[in-house]
Amino acid sequence: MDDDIDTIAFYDDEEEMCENGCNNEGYTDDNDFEYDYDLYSDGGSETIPRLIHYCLKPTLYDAASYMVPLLVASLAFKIFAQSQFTPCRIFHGISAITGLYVVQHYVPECLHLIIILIAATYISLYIPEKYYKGIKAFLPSILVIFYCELWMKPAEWHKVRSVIMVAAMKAVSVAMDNIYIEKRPNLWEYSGYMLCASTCLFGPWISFKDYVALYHRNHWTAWWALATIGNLLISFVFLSISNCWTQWMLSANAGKWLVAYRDALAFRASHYFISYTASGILLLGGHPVSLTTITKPFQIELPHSLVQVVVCWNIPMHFWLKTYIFRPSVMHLGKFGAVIVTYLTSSLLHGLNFQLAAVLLSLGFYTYVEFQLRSILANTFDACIASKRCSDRKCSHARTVSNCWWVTVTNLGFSALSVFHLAYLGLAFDTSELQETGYSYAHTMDKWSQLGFASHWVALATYCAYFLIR
Amino acid sequence: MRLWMMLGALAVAVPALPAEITRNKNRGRGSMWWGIAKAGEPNNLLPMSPASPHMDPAVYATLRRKQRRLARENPGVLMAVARGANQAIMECQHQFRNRRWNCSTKNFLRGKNLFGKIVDRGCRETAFIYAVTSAAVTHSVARACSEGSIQSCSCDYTHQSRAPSGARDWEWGGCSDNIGYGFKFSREFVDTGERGRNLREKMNLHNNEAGRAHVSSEMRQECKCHGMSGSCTVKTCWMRLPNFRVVGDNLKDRFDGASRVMVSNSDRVRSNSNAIMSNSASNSVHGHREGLARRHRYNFQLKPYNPDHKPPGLKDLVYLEPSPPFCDKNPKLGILGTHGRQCNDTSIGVDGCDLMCCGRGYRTQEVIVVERCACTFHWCCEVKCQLCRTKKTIHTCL
Repeated sequence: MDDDIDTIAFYDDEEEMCENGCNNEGYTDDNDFEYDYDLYSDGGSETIPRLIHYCLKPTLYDAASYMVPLLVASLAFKIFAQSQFTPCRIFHGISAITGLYVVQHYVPECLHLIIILIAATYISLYIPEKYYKGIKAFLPSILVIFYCELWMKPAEWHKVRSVIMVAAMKAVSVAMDNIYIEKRPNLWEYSGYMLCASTCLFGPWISFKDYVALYHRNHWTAWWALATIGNLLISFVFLSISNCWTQWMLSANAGKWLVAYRDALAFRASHYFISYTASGILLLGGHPVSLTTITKPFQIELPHSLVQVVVCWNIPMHFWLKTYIFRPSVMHLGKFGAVIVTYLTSSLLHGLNFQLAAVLLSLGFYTYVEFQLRSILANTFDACIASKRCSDRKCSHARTVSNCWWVTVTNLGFSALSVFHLAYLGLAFDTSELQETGYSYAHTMDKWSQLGFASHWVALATYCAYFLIR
Repeated sequence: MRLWMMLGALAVAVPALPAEITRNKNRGRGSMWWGIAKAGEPNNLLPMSPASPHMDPAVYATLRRKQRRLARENPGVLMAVARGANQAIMECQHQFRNRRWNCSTKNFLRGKNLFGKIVDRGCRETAFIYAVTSAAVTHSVARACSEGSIQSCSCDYTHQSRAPSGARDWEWGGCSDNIGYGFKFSREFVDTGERGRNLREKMNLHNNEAGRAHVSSEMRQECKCHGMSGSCTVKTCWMRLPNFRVVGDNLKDRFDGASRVMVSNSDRVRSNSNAIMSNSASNSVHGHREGLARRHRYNFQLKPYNPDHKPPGLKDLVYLEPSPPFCDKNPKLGILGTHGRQCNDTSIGVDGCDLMCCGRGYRTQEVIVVERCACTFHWCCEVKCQLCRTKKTIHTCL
């Protein structure tokens, strides 16, 4: 307390001094005061450093440190498993062990499930074909997904869903190949394939054939390193867009459609982040470049049609759905039925979540309507306005983008419609509390009713238009 | 008629003044540091060496001995305080731009209080000034810590240990604002003069604490899930951008609902006043003075003036006496009056001409205003604007 006494002495002096010196003139003069109106600015110049400080740095630092074990595991898989001196069984063994490490490190909740899934699906491969064909190939995977959906904690299930999903897709593809091609992998190959470190966490699905082709695929080039780093860098750019830049560009009071677009954009950017990370890890794990295109952001952000969006969203998954679901079922059920079955399978794989199922089924309906309407229009007007982009050289239509202005306008109109639908469908994936446990029915309905179910009405109107001109 | 009423009000107020003046020596002693905001460019204030030879003597003179010691022991902190003080002034003037009292400050320092003599009264406006300055110092120091511009403190790493359940919780090794240090420093620096010996000092202490509480409750962390098709395999988190404007808005709300208090007989221990301190105090402001007596001064409970009201909470602003009328110039209280202030002729609020001009009437004139307009964004990242001349009708109070 000693210096407080000093302080008082000091201050009392000053107080005296001021009482004499500046009291009278202090407040008689108006110029003594200033109104700092223009001093205040919205802090605009300060926003970017603040964004970097509070959002970009923690986000990127966080994500990078999260990735390190996965990157190490992938690289280890490439170095040790794919070397020239590794015997075939060791290759699959290393693949399975690194994969087990990745699962154990990132999603320990589902380690036992993965092992059960592998065991069950592997045993089912040996069931005679007459008891086990067609849809029954899905049974073990579906049972595991049902088990997770019903008995796992929602937050845990929501966390491990993509891991189980990728494993289920791999299992189904092997089972289907087994039926049609009659080639059964041995246990080493099978567990190596199912657990492969570079695909087990973020996916994507790769075919068994592609996996086996990795054996002795030992090549190290500067280009490979560049492509890996490039993919990872791009993924971080998308991560920063998803977490930070979208919030920075549009504030919450920008109008409900802009906010919807922003939230949907954040969701899509998050998907690009995961996809590019997966690409980078695939490359790091030694997979060929041809496999690593998972998503095409530009085709989705500036879509030609919703069909294109669905195709480009997750290309390996699209390929899987086309090969193993759509093609087998189109023979029995017809086109519309096959589309619906495909989307149902897709939502089943994504877990029995209402929001995802609603979004996926909406997409299924939208794409079907769009595809039909546009192909009718394209045939009637003999113009390049179908859902699939005409290639420039061999376009079967008379009117193309180059010789007819309204072809461009119509395509742009359909693009705008797609952007609108995407904003509407994507906005339900926001950063609310529910993001960790899966979005509920009430949440989805609440979000969509705020926008008056506009997109569904528009789609219905499009369907009516199609129905009338059919 | 109004004028007479006003004079009457003043006549009532004046007898109270002598008693105030006897205590005037204690008044404002803890608040002289506000002047730091006006003391030249902040750059001059940043002492690179521990002793601060670069400090403007005018600034130095406004600080109490203890504050000087704090500045000396924590190099770089004065710049943060100065930034905070400026932030507080801007925020105050923004919040009160449409009111009769518009948080005007003195243009230059003459050893007197920056906000003028209004601070001598224990009214609502004073409460806001104390709260907003204390909040701004907390905010600014906390941020300066994480930016590394204060040598004696660093980032707050306590976020790492917050893992209430399971392994999936966010663990961040990154640097976040050291709100614990900001809080402590603000208590040491801002509350220096206020020992809580009389009611006015208690009021100041309470309002300072309220300002700090508003800042520390605004720091939040936000997370987002990433994963294949909407699952939550990866969770990335970041700190929510704490904007001082939000703190200002909250404090303004508390200003509107401030509670008038009087002396309480019992010095009850306030349960939650130290709660904020306990969770993050990674760096100590200074080591050797953490006595119990110091903490004790925050343990008081103010009693509401109206016994029917509930006692003020931690985040509430408190005041002792009704605000003086701000209509007319009052040199004794340092009130400028609303003469010449702009008003809005269509509004029925306080910024409307009727209320703002206190019924004296207003003058309407057309002026040509040069404004920035037709702004376009150039890649990247520049906004270019043209200067436009537009005619505007402005109303000024007589």
